Amino acid sequence: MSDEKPILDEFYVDAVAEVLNIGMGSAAASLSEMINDEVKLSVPGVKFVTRLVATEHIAEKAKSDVSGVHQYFQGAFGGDAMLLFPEEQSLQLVRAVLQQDDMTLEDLTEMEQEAMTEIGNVILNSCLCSMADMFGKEMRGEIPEFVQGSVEQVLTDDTRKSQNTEAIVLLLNMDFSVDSKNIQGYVTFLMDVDEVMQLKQNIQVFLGE
Amino acid sequence: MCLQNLANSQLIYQHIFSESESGLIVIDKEYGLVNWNPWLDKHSGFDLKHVQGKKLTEIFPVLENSSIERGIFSALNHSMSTSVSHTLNRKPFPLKNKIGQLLQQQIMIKPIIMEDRQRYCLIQIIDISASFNREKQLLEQAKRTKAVSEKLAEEKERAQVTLNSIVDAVITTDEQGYVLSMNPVAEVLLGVIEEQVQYKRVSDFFKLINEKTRNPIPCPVAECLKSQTIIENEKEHILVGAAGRFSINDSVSPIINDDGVMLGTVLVFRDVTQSRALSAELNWQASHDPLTGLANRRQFEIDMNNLLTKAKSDNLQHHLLYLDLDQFKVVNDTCGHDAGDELLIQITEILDKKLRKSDVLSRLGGDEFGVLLESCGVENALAIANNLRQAVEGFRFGWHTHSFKIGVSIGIAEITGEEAKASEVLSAADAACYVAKESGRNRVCFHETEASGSSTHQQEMQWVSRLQAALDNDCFELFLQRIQCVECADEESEHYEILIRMVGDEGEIIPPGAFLPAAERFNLIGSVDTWVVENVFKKLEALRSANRYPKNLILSINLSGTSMANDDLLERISCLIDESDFPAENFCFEVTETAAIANLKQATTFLSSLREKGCKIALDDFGSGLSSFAYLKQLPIDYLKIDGLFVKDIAVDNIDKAFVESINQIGQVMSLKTIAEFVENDEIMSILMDIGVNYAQGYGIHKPTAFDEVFPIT
Repeated sequence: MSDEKPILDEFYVDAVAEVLNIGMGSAAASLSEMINDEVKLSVPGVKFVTRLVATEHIAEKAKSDVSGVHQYFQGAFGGDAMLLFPEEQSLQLVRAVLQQDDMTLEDLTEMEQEAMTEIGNVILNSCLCSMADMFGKEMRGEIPEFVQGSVEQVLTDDTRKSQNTEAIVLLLNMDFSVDSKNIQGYVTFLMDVDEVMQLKQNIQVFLGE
Repeated sequence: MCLQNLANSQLIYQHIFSESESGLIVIDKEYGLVNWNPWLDKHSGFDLKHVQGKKLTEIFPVLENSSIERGIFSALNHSMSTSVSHTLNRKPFPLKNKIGQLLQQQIMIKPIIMEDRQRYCLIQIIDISASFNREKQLLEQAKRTKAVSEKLAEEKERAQVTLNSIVDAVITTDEQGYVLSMNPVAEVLLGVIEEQVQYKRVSDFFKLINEKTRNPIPCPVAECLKSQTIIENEKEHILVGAAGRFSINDSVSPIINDDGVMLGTVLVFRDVTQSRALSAELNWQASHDPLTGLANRRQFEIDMNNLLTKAKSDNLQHHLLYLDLDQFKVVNDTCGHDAGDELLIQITEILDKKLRKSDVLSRLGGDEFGVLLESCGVENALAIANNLRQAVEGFRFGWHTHSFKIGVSIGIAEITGEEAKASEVLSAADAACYVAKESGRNRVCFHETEASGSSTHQQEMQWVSRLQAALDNDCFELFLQRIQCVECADEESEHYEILIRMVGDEGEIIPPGAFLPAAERFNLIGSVDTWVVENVFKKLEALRSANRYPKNLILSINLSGTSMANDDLLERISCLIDESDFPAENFCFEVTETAAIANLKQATTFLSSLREKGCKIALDDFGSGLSSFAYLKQLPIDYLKIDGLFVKDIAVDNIDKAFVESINQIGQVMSLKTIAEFVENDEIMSILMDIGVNYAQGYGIHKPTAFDEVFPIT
């Protein structure tokens, strides 16, 4: 992909952003009910970038490792959806959600990873559902899994399907607001070129082009 | 064949479904329960047959509005899989174990889409109670461990901060003596940094030497490791390191755990360079005389005690010399203390030159010196003492225009090892020195040991108690010796010198030579003086009462040098004269030349007061003190008593005669009346008459007679 030519035209991206924001609304509602506290979610920025750019972008914010949830999906288009947080931010999120302020990073045990997985699951499902609705097509999400490591590792894990260096990332900056805390995370949809073309076609259909 | 395989395959799946150790639930599009496996029968308490076709929320009403319900919806309508955690999910399936405890569940909800597009939902429930409980325990344990390790870290931090801030240098080692840690003070004193010596043995860089011998001292850490006890040292250690030399105090303590196993050591040391130098200086000052640099009395006694201890075991002879300068007072009083100090310094040099290397010379007091002669026989000791005496005698001390001839009286005592204390030997030598002084100064006198049976010192000691008893019981008697006018030899004057005698237990009369030296020595002379004064007045009072108070009476009363400083006595005399109303000119007070000079200032004050009152003053034993005539001008005197030693041989010794002539001449020039003592015969008397001496006193004129005999009351 050359730098000059965007992967997808801007108005496609805007359409995706709009739809994802609707998805976030329902995710926030589900999370609020789950943890019995108001959760607000917003997606201030959506863009398509190369995996390298995505890696750099996230790495710039996350000084250390990242942790989060990934979930394969297929249907209208396929890929690997991920919700990622810089580790300190993920800790903040779990603390807020579990309402245990004194928990340290070391306390983030398997059980807390599970909680993280569930939160990610709700958000990612909402994103996927909103896109499935938008395209009027079937989207199937797999069982989510917890991931942890450097941005590099997480975004290029060989065990996953999209290890293609040409992979494209639909990168969403995401703001969490819970328990009067603001937490920044990222939602990424890691796709190979074919899948991006699928997505583009779906959007074109949606836009009636 | 193919059908058979298929049938088998289905059978296998059925078995897997039935035998699965997790819960499996299948829901259809209408949310109705299609099937669940026996695991759920077992844990839910429901029989599949009775609940099949019902909605899950009917079977388990608790699931209404739960994450599980949402997950099922999402799977059936959106083909989304859901993972429901036990952590966040407040509404799990009400599934229980055998003993009725709620199962901790991990739930996964997945869409199943059949080939005919028929949708189902598969719910998988895994019992994670065991791992949940294990984790809970681990978490608690981790929290406890963390609390403990935080506390340990805090303690360690505190210990580290303490180590870094204390003034002592501290090094810790392992059980082999290898350095584990070192604080900043240790780094400074050793001139190394911790990293340089870590895992080195302390003995590799902690080098000690002995302050005095400069010999290396074995590393105390090694010693401690060997003995497993605390090794402490507070003297003589010098640390020699890259940062220089330091006097240090050091101690090493073993670190031994509860099982008695040696874990290592702690070496603590401190720079005491300054304090040790200071204490060395103080020690020197405490044990030495700053003027002459000689050991002082304290140090001398220590040296002597050491020698005493030695004398007990060896069979060698040792001696002690006690030196007293004869003319020091004169120099000090006529030329000032600077001269006196200079004299002492020069005398020290003279004495030092005449001594053997092993002899110890010390300054014991103002003008008193002591010499310890180790391994020195009697004859040798006498020879050394005489050498010293001659050296001093041959020395002339010059100060500005003055030149003084100095003498020294020396007492010798033997150190036999029998003596209990140094002070005993010192007293013996002192007593011998006193005898030397008494017998005319500038001589050496050997202390007579107890074995010889007549120790002056011992005798004096006995006299102390006798004197005290005599004072308490008035066992003294007053004697008189007439002082005769030479020109009017045929007239009997009423001029007497008062003399004192002690009355013994048997009524025997004891001469003053027997007890006065002891009285002088032991500070009883003042009391004797007072007794004499009081009793003279008593006698006179008795005479007056009997109407026999003599006319033209002059009574000469001897006062000691000590009394010159006794204001109470002065007051008493003054009071007695006033109260009795006896004419003051009836009393003459005699002080020896030596006593007057020794306390010149006090004597002048004391005698002036009496003289102002109207009393007469006589300077006794003039000539014996070898003093300068200059004193005569200062002292307020009326009579000059020429020392009898010059008088008694006047008939045969021309030098003595010349002495008496010159003393008389000086006296006459100064308008003093001269009195010659020891006038034993008429021949002397006629020579005195020729010379022009005013008065004479002696056995040839009048033998001392009891007061009551001279002036009988009845």
